[in-house]
Amino acid sequence: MTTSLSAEATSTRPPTRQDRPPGRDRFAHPGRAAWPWLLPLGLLLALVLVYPVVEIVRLSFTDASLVSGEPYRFTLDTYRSLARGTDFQQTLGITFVFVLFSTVFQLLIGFAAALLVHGAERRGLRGTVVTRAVVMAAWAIPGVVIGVIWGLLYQETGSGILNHGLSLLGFSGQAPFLSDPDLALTSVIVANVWRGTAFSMILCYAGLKTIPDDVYEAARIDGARAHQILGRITVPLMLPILTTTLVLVVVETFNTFDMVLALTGGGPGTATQVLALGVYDELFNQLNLGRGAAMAVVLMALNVVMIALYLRLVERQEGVA
Amino acid sequence: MRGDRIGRAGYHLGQAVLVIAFAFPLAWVLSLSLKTGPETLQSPPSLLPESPQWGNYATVLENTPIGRYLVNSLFLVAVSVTGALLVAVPAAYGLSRFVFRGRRTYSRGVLAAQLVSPLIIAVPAYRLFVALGLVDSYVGLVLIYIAMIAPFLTWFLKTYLDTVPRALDEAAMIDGCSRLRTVVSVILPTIRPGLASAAILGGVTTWSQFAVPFILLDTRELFPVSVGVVNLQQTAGEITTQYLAAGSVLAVAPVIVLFVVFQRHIVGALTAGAVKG
Amino acid sequence: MTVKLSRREVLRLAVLGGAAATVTGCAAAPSGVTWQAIPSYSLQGTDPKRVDYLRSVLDAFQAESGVAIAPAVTSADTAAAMAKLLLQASQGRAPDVSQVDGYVFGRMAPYARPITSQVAAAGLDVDDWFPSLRPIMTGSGPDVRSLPFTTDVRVLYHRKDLVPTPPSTWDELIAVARPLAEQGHAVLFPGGRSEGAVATTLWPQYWAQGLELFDASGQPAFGSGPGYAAMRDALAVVERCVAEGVTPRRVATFGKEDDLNSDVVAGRVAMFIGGSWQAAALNNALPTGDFFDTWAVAPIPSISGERHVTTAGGWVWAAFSDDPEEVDAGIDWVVRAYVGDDGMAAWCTAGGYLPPRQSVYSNPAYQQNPFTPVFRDHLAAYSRTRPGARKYLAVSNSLQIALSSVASGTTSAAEALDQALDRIV
Repeated sequence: MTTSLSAEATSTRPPTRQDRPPGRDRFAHPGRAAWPWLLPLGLLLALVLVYPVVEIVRLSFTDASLVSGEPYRFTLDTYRSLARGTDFQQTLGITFVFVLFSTVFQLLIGFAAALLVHGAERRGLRGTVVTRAVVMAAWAIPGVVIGVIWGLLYQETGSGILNHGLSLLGFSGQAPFLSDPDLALTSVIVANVWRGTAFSMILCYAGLKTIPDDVYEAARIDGARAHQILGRITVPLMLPILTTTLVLVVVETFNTFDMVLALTGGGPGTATQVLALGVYDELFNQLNLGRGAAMAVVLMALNVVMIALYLRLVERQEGVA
Repeated sequence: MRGDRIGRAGYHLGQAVLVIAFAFPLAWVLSLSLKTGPETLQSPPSLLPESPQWGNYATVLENTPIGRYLVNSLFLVAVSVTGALLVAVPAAYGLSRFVFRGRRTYSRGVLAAQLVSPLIIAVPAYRLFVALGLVDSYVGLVLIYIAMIAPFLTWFLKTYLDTVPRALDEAAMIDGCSRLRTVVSVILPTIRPGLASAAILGGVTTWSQFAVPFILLDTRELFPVSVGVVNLQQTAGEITTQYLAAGSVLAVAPVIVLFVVFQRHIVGALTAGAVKG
Repeated sequence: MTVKLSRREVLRLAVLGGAAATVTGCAAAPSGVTWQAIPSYSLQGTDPKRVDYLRSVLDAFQAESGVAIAPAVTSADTAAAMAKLLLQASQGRAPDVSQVDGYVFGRMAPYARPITSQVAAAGLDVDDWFPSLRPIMTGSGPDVRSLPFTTDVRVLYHRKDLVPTPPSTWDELIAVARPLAEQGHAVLFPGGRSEGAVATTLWPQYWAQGLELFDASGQPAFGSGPGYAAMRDALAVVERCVAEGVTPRRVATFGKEDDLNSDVVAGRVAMFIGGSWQAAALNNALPTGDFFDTWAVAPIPSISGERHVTTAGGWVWAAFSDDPEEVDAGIDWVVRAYVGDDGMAAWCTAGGYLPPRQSVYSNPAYQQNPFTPVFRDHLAAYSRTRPGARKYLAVSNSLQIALSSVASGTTSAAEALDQALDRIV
């Protein structure tokens, strides 16, 4: 994440720290001396991550079950059934909607919250400590617990608090938060935004702190209004941090399933079955290791696309910087 | 000045909205946790319990080892974050300070590693760990946790280290320090804010893990809170909303207290880490 | 607001916490025979009656036999817990004696130890179990490998004041229910994504049309022809209840049968399809405590009304230990607490379950509730168990999704079934 943070900082700070490009040290530190520093991590990753990934790819071409004693054969049926089944396309569609809206709102609200806290702080207003603490608390709660908590809020009978609140506002008070497929997806996204906003807020807040006060002062002296400052100074300067946050949040959201598992279990039907939850479901409810592995491979491929986009962004920014 | 007063009011209002939106779900669960079973079914619901049923907490504490789960989680976080820093700091230093063949491949490999979903690791790791005798032990679990968070921490710290002038290393080495010595006694103290924010980011990630511990741990006494709390979702024919709520409050409260008490430090560390980076 | 702590203090705290956790972690290492149950069947249940019973029997057993029993508990998501147990069993790591959901035991039977001699030694007779449960006990071989110790059956519950005569067909049910629904009394059944939902709501409707879920070669039998029509019609029952407004769409979120208990307690229900165990729990939960007086039980309606079928479920004990002595001790323990004459009578009384052994019904220690004779009749007359086919879990899961889509009122029965068939590899 931080590579582009550095690019961002480069553009706003005087060139005190980037005066030594890495290439300068080429002769001072011959390459071989690097490996002792790199080996522990390299070995650990090779040991712990490479085997599972290879194994999952291999298993995705089998009809193996989770029960390791049962015989299995190699087949392409797993992928074929994914390509053929309408459910998998639906899962992909739901995943994209979930990721898109979760990310956009997490980023927007996170950025707005950061602006709010930062602005209030600069004005010396009280209450920022409480705001930060409360928003960040949501971030530190395990996803499963968040699912449980929102499940209680979304209760659809007369005892549900959100429905009660809606009825006080003049609505029917019978909103099928989790049983209507479209509304259920919205409900899941709302809970996920609630959970993830803090992360975006922290990164944006950190980014705002890197913008020196004199930039604002200069703008104000020039007579710029608040929305002009936001649109012409803050947002452009924050763009690199926002893109980094975006990529991080997108990847995180693609891989998340614990909150959805506890909240809806993917239902009704498959209305909230995001891809990662589909993998879990296939593996642990149906014991279909082969098909689950194939779905996991698709998930991995999506992540690889994300990382490729990220690298391209970073390299372009570094090229600019 | 009038505009400023409106501005102040706006900031207060905005903050109030944020606080309500983020605190209300937790407050509602707290209220549910203090109700009686029939009260949780009341329609329309009452905002506050008629008389707080503290006994709900006693029941949950008696029947589930939730305190144990919390201790387990804290322990796992402490060990995993420490372990991850032990491999991430040298790797970050290596990436930041050396130019070598394969640097690009290595750094991309590290980046790619951070995108491997825990779900993908869980099942193959279970089979591997059965063979190695590491199932149902924290050794295997912590190894996986470290492998999952170390790549991210490496990237974070590498960028942070890039901001530390090399002159510092060189000066120390001219004074006769070995490189290892230089890192330990000169570089590490300099990057303390970065280390702290890395530790917090890694800690929160570890704290929330669900799939890997669920698969790799058999003994309930070893469960972290993220796995343990799912067990409160049982009903077995009884109406247990209030227990579920009480369990959730117990699972969440210590972290929230920690975050509230230390939040100045935490936000400070996070922003310091990121700002420098 | 902030507490100042030096870095060293923080570090010291962390190390202390870590050390404490390590020490207690070692102290809790399991020893003796590991006995694993699901939460509500364990010492960590939320029902004091059951927990007190288990604690006293366990203490007595350990004192008399000198065997140490190490209690373990699964996660409460029993479907996932069974998947995990299967994974453990196939790697030789399952707890010494474990509680297994009857319908998945077929998959686990190859890993379970034969316990024929232990059963004989305990003076138990296989023929005492209900005939529909005996295949689960032996798997495919000659040996006894599991001991069913609770069973249950799904029925139609109806409120006597609102529905004096229970409907026998779905046409009748909807005719009766429509005016009641307008007054806020719904017809409920689990329609969510869980094993319990298909076992309660879907399989009985399919089976009642005289068809099997799998053909002789273990392939799903509802892919085409009469099987397809029957499954579609079974789903259409749900579709119709929702479309007619007698069943609220939120049944699509009811996974467990117990999820509808709170509606029953709140007085919002005229009829529901549920498990036999729910009667006792509901009687306790109703503020008035008169469930057995105000409600009655009837066979689950079928499409034709000519034939009624219901699903029998229940749990079994199986031994997985490599050590014959641990198998003996583990079986001794579960026989004492759950399977033997006294144990089964006491446990089924405490939990409101039906005894799977017929002789226990006449045991004076078994306290029946007023519905038990009806349940027992249903068990004998209408009940079936789920097939042990390898594809059962995939089929069940896929149709759970179909059921839940139909119940949410957004997918037609035929559409949902077509999608379900696509999901089954």
